[in-house]
Parts: sequence; C-alpha cells; structure tokens
Amino acid sequence: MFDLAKPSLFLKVVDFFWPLLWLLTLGGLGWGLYEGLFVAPQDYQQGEAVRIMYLHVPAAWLALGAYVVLTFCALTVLVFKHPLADALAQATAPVGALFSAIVLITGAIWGKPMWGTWWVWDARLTSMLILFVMYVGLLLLRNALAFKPQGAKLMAILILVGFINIPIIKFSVDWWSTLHQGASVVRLDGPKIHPDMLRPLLISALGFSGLFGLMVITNLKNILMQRRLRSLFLRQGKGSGV
Amino acid sequence: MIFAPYTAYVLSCYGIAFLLLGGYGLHIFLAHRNLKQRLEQVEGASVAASSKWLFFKSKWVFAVLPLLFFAGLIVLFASRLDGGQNKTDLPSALVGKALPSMDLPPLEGLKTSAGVAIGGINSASMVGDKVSVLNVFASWCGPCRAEHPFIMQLSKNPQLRVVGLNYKDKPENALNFLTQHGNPYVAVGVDAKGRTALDLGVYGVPETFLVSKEGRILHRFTGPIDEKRLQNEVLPQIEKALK
Repeated sequence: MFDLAKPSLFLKVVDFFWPLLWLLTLGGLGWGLYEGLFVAPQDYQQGEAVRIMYLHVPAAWLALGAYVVLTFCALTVLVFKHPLADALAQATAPVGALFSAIVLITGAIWGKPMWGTWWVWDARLTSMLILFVMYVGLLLLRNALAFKPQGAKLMAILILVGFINIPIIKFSVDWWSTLHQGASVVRLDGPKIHPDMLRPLLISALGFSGLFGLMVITNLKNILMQRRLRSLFLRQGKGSGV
Repeated sequence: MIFAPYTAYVLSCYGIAFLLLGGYGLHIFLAHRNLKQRLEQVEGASVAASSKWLFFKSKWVFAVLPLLFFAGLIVLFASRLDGGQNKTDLPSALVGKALPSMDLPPLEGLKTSAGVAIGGINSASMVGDKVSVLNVFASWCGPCRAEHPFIMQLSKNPQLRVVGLNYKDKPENALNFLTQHGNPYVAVGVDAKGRTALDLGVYGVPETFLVSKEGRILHRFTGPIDEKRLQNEVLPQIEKALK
C-alpha cells in the first residue's frame, strides 16, 4: 500500500481517474445547481434566499473536510516523515482557505436579508472565521519556510494544534445557543431537511467535492514538479531555479 | 419587478463563488502549464506527454468557460424571473365557432328588482339581436368578486346582453353573492358539475366570452377583468363586435 505513496505511481493513478473526476465535477455541479436553483422549492420563510444553501453548505463541508485531510497529512509527516504527505498538506491548505472564504462570504450575504446583519459574533460564525485564519496562518508559515527542512514539521504541528477547532465548529450549534441554525443533515436521528432540498444539496456537494479534488491534485502536481525542478537545478549546480 | 425578493443576494453569492473558484482554478492551471514547460526545457519532451486534455490546454478556453457559465446562469435567471409571458392572453380554440350547445337551469330564487324570475341559459337564447357577454363566475372565487364591478358596468350597456354561467357553486351561495353585490346578469345558468364549462374550454374562473348575434364565439378573456383590461381589451373588442 505504501507503494501508492510513491509520487510517480501516485501520478499514474491520478491520471487514470482524472477524466472521472472532471465528470463528477461538471455533472455534479451542473445537475445539483440546476436542481437547487430552478427545481427545488422555495423555503416558506426564506423564499428564494434558501438557494444560497446549495453553495454555502457544500463549501462548509469541504472547508472542514480539507482540515481533516490536513490532519491526516500532519500525522503522516510526523510519524513516517513521508514527503508526499507534506506536499498534500501544502496542496490542500489553499483550497481549504478558498472554500472557507466562500462560506464566510455567502453566509454574510445570506445573513443580511435573513438576520438583518452581515455578521454576528456567534459561536458558529466565530469558529468558522478562526478556521479561515488558521488556513491563512498555515499558508504563511509554509511559504515562509518553503524549502527549509523544518518547514514540513512545523506546519504539521500547527495543523494538529488547529484541529481542536474542527469539533468546536461542528458542535458549536449544540453547545451554545447560536443564531446559526442547528445541524439538519448530519444528525444522529437522520436528516431534518425535506428530500426535495436534500437531494440537490447532496448532488451539488458531490460536484463541489470533485472540484475540490481537481484543485488539490493540480496543486499537488505543481508542488511535485516544483520540487523536481529544484532538485534538477541543484544537481546541475545552477542555483535553486525556483 | 424583474427580481423576485432575495434573487439579487442569491446571484451575488453564486457570482462571487464562481469568480473566486474560477480565478483560483485559472491561477493553478496556468502555474501547472508554466511548470510543465520549464520541466520540458530542462528534461526533454517526455514529461508532458501524460495529459491528453488538449481542449483545456488553451488558457483562453479555461478563462472564458466560467464566465460563460455565469453569463448563462444570469440569462436563465432573468428569463425565468421576468414573468414576460402574459397568462391572460390565451386565445380560445373555439373563436369563430358556434357556441357549444348548452341547456342550463336557472338559479332558483333569483329575481329581478321587479320580482320576475330570471331564467337559465340555452343555445337558442344566445342567438338574438344583441351581442352577448357570457361571464363564468362562482361565489367561491375571489377574483370574481374583484371583477364584479366591471361586469356590472358592462351590464349597463343596452346593446349588450350579459349572462352568467355559475360554475360548480352552491345555489344558496351564488344567490347570496348576487343579492349582496348586485346582479348584472339577464340570465344565469347553473353549471353545478362544470360540464358545460368543459365544453367551452374554460380552465379557470373567472372567464368571459364575447358571443356574436349569431351565437358565435368572438373572443375569450381569461382571468379577471380590471379597469386596465376593460379599457384596453374588452371595450375595443365589444366595439368591434357591435359594428
């Protein structure tokens, strides 16, 4: 199984699944957003504004999911010192930051007509903002130490420190009384959302996951190529070249 | 109003997300191309052979695709929310044809102010020396109440014969309705099961048919008649019919 983690073999597997990932992305986004925007019913209280959900909620799931990926990478870096895990963490962090920015922006735009305010310092919103700041901090740290040997290790430690935030985000709506609504899809007693809205939500979530995968893997390929370029230049004695 | 409430918010959310995702996607894609080219220069041509996605190799395609998608989304939104189609402008298939044969009983208890019982409708009674206005109404229908004053207005025209078709109604309710708001009709036929309305092609109350002296359907007005429609559609059609 560890053979799969060899960059060359890993890239071959990725190239095989690449068209399928495109299909998942275009199909999921096309179908899910079409259903979400045009077919799914309006909400009885929110009216058309409920359609922001088909973007906001998948982006939130992926923003959290990206951090879970980072955490696995961090553990692998610390335990096995595997270089691909560090590259994957570097590739995932900016995409996680992007999706959490989308969550914050769409949430604010939804909040203005629904709550009457762009922002409140509510537990869910604040913890999400902290997640975004964590991503930015990780990126700054990793870029500052881009080709330094201690960069991977420091980033891994910071990732593990920040992981405490993930359960806080998930359960913030249960632990504190928040303005943000409670969990309605991932609950112990099953989803509390009408199937007509749940189906497009899940389909568009699949599409966004595909997009997430495309972006992370492109980033990963870029990072691997950058490393290769650098080692080639170093071998030829032409300086780092990157 | 072009935008339903909140649609601007939904649009800006999706717009911002597509710009962010598209912009970042373009950024990493261009970085990918750039790195590949540099690796090719250093290592020879073998590296880049793996990707077969020639279509996406042109950076312009990738830059334009998200924008096109977004533009398409806006067009779809606008076309759907514009409400451009006018649902009241539905020509009847029966225009120019004779009124379907009908024989409807009168509304029990309905009398003129002089105390004379008002009769029902049959095909023969729709042929005469006057142009008829056949109004399909029901006491349970809100728009009929809104329309009622304008039917009263039409009934004052001595050249017209305004008759009512009481659609799927309880007789006592219909009687109440006409006593309370005034009776514009010289004849009222009760269509309790809606069979005659079916023959007429009625698909919602209220609906109004303009019938020529020979008993031919000249025009159909679907939905309630208001001041604007009265002036712009109904009165011009009646004038045309009276010529």
